[in-house]
Amino acid sequence: MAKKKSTKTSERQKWELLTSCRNNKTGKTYEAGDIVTTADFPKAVLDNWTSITPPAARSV
Amino acid sequence: MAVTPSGKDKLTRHMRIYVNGYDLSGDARTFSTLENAFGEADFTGWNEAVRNYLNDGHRMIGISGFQAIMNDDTGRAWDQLKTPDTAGRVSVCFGGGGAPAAGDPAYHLATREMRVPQGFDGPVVVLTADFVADQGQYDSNTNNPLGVVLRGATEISADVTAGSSNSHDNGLSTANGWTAVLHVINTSSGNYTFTIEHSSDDSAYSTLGTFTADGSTVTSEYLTGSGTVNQYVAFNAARTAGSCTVVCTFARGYPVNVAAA
Repeated sequence: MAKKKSTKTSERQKWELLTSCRNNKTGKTYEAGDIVTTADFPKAVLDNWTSITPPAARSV
Repeated sequence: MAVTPSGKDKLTRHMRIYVNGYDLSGDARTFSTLENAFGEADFTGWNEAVRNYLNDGHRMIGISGFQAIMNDDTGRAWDQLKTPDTAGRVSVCFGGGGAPAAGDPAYHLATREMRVPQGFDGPVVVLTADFVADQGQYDSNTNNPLGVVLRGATEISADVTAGSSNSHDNGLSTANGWTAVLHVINTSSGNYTFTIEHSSDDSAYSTLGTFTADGSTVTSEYLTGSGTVNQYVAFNAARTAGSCTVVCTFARGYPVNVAAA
């Protein structure tokens, strides 16, 4: 039987926010320095924030 | 979903002009030109039949011939515009069928009012002001005066959350910086944090810039930034206390020295 891929939060990729951010779908706000995962924001958003200039997040 | 354009309904009845935190719309008569032009660099070769050009890399911006009634009441046109060589911020907002609101076109400047001669327009004494780009406020992100209203002159007494109800959809992101102007035109012990926020999906927003002005006094502020502006942009106000009325205009930067297609 194939081993299931773990999706534990502790093993998820993490990003550090570099500015204040907000998810309007959940209503949660975040400050610079907060560590987030794809549980907090969609991957596409986090990828965007990592790639823009200046970046709004960085991968940690 | 971001705010939608209102279409072919830009009437002078619904235009507004804000100068240094003062609404001068009630004294405004007309203006001659909202400048927005490049000079022409002639690249015509000897054997080419048609003259052809590139822009010269210097955009001419400014407001010429802004005519207002000579109203000497406090905070009105004469009181605010009578002294030439005065630095400030100007936003001209084009209301779409009603008072300007988020998504309506806007033209803004960090400006120095250079000329303000007075004269007559029939039986009415008027002043005619020219606003030019102010060297003292210029930075490398200052290149495009034409943008949108992010917040119209409606009183704020609670949080205003940047999101799909008040965002402007540019259709795509840009990478040439931005400028924003904030006018606090009225306050009742206002205490707020005002930010410009942007988003790639109109749902998750990050801060693009934060104004110093906190809504406690009538004032104006020019804010700029470099780099990326995502597709959606919106105004955000986080309330600590009181109420105030603010107007915010925003413009994306434009790449200079654009080569011929």
